[in-house]
Amino acid sequence: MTAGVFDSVEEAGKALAAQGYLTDQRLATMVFLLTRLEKPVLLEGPAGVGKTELAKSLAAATGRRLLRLQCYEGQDEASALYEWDYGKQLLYTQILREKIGQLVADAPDLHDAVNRIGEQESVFFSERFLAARPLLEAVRSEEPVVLLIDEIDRADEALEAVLLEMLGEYQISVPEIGTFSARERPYVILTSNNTRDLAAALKRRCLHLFLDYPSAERELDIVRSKDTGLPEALARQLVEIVRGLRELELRKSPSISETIDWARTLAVLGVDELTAPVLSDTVSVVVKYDKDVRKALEALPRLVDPNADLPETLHGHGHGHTHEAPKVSADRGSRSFGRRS
Amino acid sequence: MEASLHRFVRLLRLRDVRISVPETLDALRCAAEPGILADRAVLKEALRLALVKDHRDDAAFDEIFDAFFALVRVGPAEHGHGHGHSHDDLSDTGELESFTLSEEPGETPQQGHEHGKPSDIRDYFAPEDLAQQYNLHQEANKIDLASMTDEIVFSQDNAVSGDAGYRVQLDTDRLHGAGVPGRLSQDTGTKVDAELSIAEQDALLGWLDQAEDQAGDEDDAAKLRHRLAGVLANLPEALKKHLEALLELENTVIESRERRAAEVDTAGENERAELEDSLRRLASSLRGALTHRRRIASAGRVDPGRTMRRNMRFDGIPFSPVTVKRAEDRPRLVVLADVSLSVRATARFTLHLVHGLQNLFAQVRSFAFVDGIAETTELFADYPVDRALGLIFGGDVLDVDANSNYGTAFGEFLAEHSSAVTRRTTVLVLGDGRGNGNDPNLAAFAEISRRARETIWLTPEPRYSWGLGGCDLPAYAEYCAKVRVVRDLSGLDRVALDLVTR
Repeated sequence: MTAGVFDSVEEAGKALAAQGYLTDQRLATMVFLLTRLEKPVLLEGPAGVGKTELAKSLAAATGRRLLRLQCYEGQDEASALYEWDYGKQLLYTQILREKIGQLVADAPDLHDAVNRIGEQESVFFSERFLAARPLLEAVRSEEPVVLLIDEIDRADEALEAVLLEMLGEYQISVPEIGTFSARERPYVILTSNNTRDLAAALKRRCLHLFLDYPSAERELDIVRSKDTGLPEALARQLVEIVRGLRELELRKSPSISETIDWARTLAVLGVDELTAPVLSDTVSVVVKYDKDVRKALEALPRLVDPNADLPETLHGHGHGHTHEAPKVSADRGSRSFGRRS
Repeated sequence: MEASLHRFVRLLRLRDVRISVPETLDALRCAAEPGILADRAVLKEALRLALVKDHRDDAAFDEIFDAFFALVRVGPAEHGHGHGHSHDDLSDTGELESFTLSEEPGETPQQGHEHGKPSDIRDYFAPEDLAQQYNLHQEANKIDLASMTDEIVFSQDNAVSGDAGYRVQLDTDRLHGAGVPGRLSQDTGTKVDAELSIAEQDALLGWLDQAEDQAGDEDDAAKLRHRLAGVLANLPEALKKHLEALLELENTVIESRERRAAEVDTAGENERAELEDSLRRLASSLRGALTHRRRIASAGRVDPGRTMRRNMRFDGIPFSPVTVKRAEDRPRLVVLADVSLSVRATARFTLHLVHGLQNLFAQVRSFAFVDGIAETTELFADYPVDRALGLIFGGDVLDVDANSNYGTAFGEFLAEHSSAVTRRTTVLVLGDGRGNGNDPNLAAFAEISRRARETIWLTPEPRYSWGLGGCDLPAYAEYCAKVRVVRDLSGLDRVALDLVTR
């Protein structure tokens, strides 16, 4: 058995849990199959649900080295595959000028000299002068690796095509040298935030998983495992509130990492009860857009206490809109007062 | 398992899920890994990994998996419970008094394909067959398989009067699975066969003998026994025959339904692929703005720094100059689509086009307008195209039955979404330019096209009819870089080619 091959789905799940990454069955199955079939995996899903984290945990769990290729708009294949190290080649030619001079010194004519230089070409186009970028590095590596190709949807379609040879055959062709094939097949994880549809050819070469926001229990487990310092009961309540926020139509829904940030924030503040004002003050930790913040503030009182009756909701509403004319809030206040009596 | 998976994939394809052969092979390899087949949930996730490449297909996958693998036993868990898909909640209400076997299957095979709970097996029998037997009590004495009992009890009422009639009881505990046609014909058939032929028949007949003492006379009993013997001997065959006929009927229904669906779907699939091709070609002709990035190009300005660096090997003599160009950014696209009644015939195609554009390119914002304007970017992003079209034409987004008013639509767009148009943006207008005599608001359109890098108008109407009726297109055309007539796919293809080759 080579290192990092799990015997069962449960084992895969446990190994990741040991690295602090909690999986559900779907994820565990994916990891298990990834290690067994040695096929690349494409993870799609909203930002912050732990796609990148999964690759890191997998590397740690299997004891493999993690190589990361961060994709960006306008990326060319030179930064993904390899580049010829011109500077180094130049340096070597300068230093070896004399040696090269000797080589052709006794050549009878130019033709012969060119031939002699030509014979030596392979010295300069050898692996020595190849600056490996993550993809080539993953293929050439002596030790087994986990290759993370992050946010592939940001890169241009041209780069996807470059990836195909690598993903299908685990090999990279360098015209001057030949084809490198992976000694030990790397575990390849591609992530995408789903800002555009990837080419069918790429998808076909990968196992595919759509990673969504986790279930309540799993999210609670994750918050717990991150050791945020927030008491259990509060954490439970917080997870429910975040789930409520996700149901609002926000431009960017809060993800797991934001839940954890919020839990840490609240723990640092020493909060011992989740109330609407406390949450409203810290809501900017989880909601990052102005419009979203306003929506979240409106919804928070209802999320904290679903049984809040109408007048209280109005109070909370007023609280969220402190910039409103005082007359309006006074009006609302008196109305709610009137109803209670 | 191979055959099962293959069939499963076929069913998925019928539901419009794109699955290639290598993906099927992957699925087989996944299923072959140890431990995967042991658990239905694990198998489901494994197959999902290998087969489903678009989360919009998840629902279809779930549905078909649940239906399909209800037929195929997965793992020991199933055996433990006897029947995975249990119908134990259906209670036995007894009251089975008469039983009819028809030579012909019922003509209403409703449940079979979906494999939901078999709510009423009586649906499998023609109602007239059930009713023609001797009804003493109108409601009570037909066979009532609806009650899903463990037993089928039947009696011949003409031989008996009174409550303690001669009864023949068949234990058919496997009838549980009655909702699943594939298993029913095999399992139930053999089961009934075995139980009857070995011990039960004797026991039943013996019991019938005893019962003679009670009510009725000897003749009746003997007659009954005689008749029953024939029935019992033939029962397995009769049941089997009936079920086979039923299954056959069912298959033809499924097959024909599948074939019909397949025809529609493959046509749609081809068109979609063609649409995508055309759009890719079209998009390559769209230009973005220049960026600050400079790229090495075969023609352009000489870049001193890079030239020096490259010519170091020639001792600094600028032997091979390096020229650079400012790179062009990728185009940002804003699509304005008219969905009013006058272009309804082509609006569907138009919106398919918008949806395709949005899926293929990163920075596309789409708007639909009639006399108001609404952003549809998220709608198309969230829903599959058919659903999104339904929402738009259903009037959920904007009032589609109003008269189109290009003037207000452009004005509103400029007022509310002007930030969507920058010097990098290409504006694509899809519509016929018939504003129903309303103010065309050329100023607003001019402003939009001034802000945009390029404005392209695609109209479904042929050029000669622009002058007829109240068409403002000629006026708008002045502010457009290109106006093209696109009615359908082939038109789009021509335009795309035309734009690319220019």
